[in-house]
Amino acid sequence: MPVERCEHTLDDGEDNLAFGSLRSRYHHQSDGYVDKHRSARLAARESYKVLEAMWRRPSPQQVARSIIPPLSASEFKALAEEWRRDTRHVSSITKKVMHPAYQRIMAMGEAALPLILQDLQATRSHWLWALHYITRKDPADPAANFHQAVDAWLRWGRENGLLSR
Amino acid sequence: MRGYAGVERMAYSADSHKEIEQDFPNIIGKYEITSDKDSGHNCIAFAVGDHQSFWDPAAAMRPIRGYYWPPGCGDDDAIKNLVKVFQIHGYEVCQSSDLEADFEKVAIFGDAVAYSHAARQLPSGKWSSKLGEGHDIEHDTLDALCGTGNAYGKVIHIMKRRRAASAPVDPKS
Repeated sequence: MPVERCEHTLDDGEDNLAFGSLRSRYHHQSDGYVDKHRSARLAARESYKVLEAMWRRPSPQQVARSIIPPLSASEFKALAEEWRRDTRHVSSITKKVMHPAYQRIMAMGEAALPLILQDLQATRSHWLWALHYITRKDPADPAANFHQAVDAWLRWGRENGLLSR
Repeated sequence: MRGYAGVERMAYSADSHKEIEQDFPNIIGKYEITSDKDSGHNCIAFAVGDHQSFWDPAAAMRPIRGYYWPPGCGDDDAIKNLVKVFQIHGYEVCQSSDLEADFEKVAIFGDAVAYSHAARQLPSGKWSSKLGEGHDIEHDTLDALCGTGNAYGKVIHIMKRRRAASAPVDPKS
């Protein structure tokens, strides 16, 4: 049976690469041209479902969001106050950042940015680490001191629509 | 009322005193608040004489802008790293925290592993500290900041340098 007789046009959305391997497998299992053709089309649909499921699989960020539910503004405020109270006399940034409340807020990812920036504007607390961790950016001048870096982040927040002007 | 630097002192709120006394139970009756709160500098910067920067070894480990740590002084809060910071500013380890007229002294607090705080001695023999993001205070003794919980542990090292060497210079130079 010449293989080329089994060639057919894939339905919209069917994937040629995935279909190819499945088609070969079905060819070995069937004798007649019609059966093979049907088998091939069935295989194509199956492979498309697999690919579609893979494509729709949540991103790591989506998975994180489903495991770590987002915080409401009041929950954020309570955690921020807890963090400030417990670390108000701590001089070590590492110890401040490792506080569970700070970690919980960082785990919110990008959804936390407006809340963090509002709190930064109001309190000038040490949110630079969280902002850098979440955004992978650093808008401050390399030689900036803390307050200059805070001002740079607040500007960045306004420019990006995350903080009201 | 005038403080050690001749700065007019303000009365600070009961909340400020409450926060300090909650974290440092040994300090009650032995201290005075000498500045507003400021998150822009910390105890290490304060002890070195820099009131503009926040000195932290995390700046060496992960260079997030807004923090400073002298080059060559490690990248974590090991006590030896803080000793090195003071050494490059002319201090050397000594035994006594008693006032010596020709020397200025700093005290390093911490535990067996890491430093937690630094305080500097005033010409009066009292001590001056910046409490984290909070106030600067003047305290009668080093014991006032010792203890468990949010307190600073115990005094690990006293370091001193000649006063002549403390002429105003850029602490970051």
